[in-house]
Amino acid sequence: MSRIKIQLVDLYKAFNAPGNENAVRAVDHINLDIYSGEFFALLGPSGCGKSTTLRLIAGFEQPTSGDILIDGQSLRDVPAYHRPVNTVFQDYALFPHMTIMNNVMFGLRMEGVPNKEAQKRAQEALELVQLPNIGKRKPSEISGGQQQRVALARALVKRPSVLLLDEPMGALDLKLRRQMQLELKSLQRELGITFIFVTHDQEEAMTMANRIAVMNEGNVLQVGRPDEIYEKPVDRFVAAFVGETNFLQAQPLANKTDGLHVALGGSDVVVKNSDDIQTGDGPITVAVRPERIQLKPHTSASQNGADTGTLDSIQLQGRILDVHYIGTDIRYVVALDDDQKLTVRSQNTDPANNVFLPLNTVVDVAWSTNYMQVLPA
Amino acid sequence: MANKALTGPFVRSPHTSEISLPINRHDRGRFLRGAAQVGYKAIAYGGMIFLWLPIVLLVVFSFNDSRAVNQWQGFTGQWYGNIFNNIIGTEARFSTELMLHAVGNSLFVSVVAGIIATIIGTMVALSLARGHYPGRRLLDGLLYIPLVIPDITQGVSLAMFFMIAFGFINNLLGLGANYGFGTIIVGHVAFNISYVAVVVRARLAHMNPRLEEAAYDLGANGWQTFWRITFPQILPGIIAGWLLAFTLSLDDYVVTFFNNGVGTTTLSIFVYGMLKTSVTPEINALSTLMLVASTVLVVISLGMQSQFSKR
Repeated sequence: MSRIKIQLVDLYKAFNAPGNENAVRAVDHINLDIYSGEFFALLGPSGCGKSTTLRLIAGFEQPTSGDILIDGQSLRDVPAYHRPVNTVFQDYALFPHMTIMNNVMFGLRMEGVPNKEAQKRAQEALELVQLPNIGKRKPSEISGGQQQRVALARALVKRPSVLLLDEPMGALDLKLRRQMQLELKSLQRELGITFIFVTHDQEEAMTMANRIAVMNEGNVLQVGRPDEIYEKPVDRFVAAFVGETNFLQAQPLANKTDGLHVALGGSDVVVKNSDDIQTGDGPITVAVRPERIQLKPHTSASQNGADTGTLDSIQLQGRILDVHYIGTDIRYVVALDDDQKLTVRSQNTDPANNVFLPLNTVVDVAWSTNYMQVLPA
Repeated sequence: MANKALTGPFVRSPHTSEISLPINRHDRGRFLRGAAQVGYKAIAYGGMIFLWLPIVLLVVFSFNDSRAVNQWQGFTGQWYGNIFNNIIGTEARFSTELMLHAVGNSLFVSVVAGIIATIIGTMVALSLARGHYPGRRLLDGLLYIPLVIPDITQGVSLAMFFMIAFGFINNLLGLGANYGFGTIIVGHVAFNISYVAVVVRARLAHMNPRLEEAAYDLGANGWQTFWRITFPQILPGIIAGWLLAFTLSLDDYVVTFFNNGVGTTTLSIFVYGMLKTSVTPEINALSTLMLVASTVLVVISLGMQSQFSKR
């Protein structure tokens, strides 16, 4: 990995609500290293502290304690207007009384760049976002998607060493959003600027970011590449927030040489990769993604598998409770023998031969233990 | 069939053979709605007539060829002519001269008081909207109270305040400060600050706070951010505030009455003084001119407002 660009050191921000003794811990002592040239996403539900973290980096809020370093330099006493970062705001915050050109030139004028050069650079920035011909218009005269690009140009024209984006796609419709996601990603690759991107949309974060920090209640729960976050979520919150997951309760029975035996779905199954889980007597949670589960109608032949499956896979029996046709997938809700519910997504690859399994069909479900997470309950 | 005698205003319903009014339920609803509309119209027009009839009479009688204010004697432009001639100096009628002098005093007081009140009021609004200091909410509440304090209370309290202040200052510094333009202007500024602050605050409340953050983010310091972003955004509010202060100041009688001095007779004081003798048609003419001027001002300010809101 390349060198560290931004370091959040034990960053803490508390808001004192008026008349409330207890401070709201918006950002609760977080530590993060963000590398140079990285597309980094802060992902979490609203109120998780991701926007506050961004505002702390931008300098709109002052940390209660802790520090932010850019290239090793503390930003503690640096006002927002002297920080080498620029922001793309959620509502774009274009200056309504200025033309697009003057909006984009604003930052350069504040730097004291001569008018002629400022104009040239602003025009280049507008070309970069593919809007070379709207300089004379006012923000109210262009569409939301164009406003977003102008906001991007206005921030990029300053050649920041870090670009902060606060849910910049929030106001765009789905199609435009998809398009902008791809454009933004290629733009970032092209410019090599560190992007820090705040979003509550896990799909957006996965699509765009090199690395993601999942936040909740002011804490960073997990930092990692999108595939790490998806495949190896550290806890139930991350597993549930990023993608869809089945959580199954299992009661430990015995720790044998072949692994931990648990009671799951009315059967005795072996959970292989239980090394890193502290198993007391309490129940554990098994997390498995719906698309990783195989589903077949139950036949007497499959009975021979003795339910528990092999060492590498888990096989259970259930009954179809519900079927949803989604187009790309068919989603089954299966009730296991112990009445726990399991969602299974089977890809709709062969619609001609794809037979909907009717309700109440008895089915075998199976998944590889490699694709299963054992989490504390 | 005995009902036959009852035809005429009454008809038989074909289904129930009961006697009913010639209007069915549907028609009755329409009738009532129509009546309500007539009522609304009557109230609206009645209100407008009540509001505008005196003003129309004033305008009409400003062209009356008689010194008597209440009897139409024929058309003349004489009273406007008198004012015009006095202004350009081809004629100098003493009574008109006095009136125009009072107009001059009024304009001077209201322009100056309006400007001072607008500057202070805007700063108060900014402080209340952007500040985070203890007592801010209390100050916010106090801001609205002058809007409902009776003029008489304000006038008397200011007069008393000046009396005490002058006694103190004159004793201490050996000066001879007294009531005059200074006291009138201070008095007007005092009641106008609230109006300006309330108007500007409303504008500030509608301003997107991200705009200022965006300016900081792009390298503007507090001063640059204010003049390049905040000020242009709230300018319509500031202009509206000034216009309000100017007009309130222009037609103020009570506060001025308690706080004026020698040679500072404003138009409202002058006109009130004339009531003891008689109101001249020139006053009607002058009032009409002021009506036209203020209408033009309002139209301009509305035009500017809509121009700004487009941005």
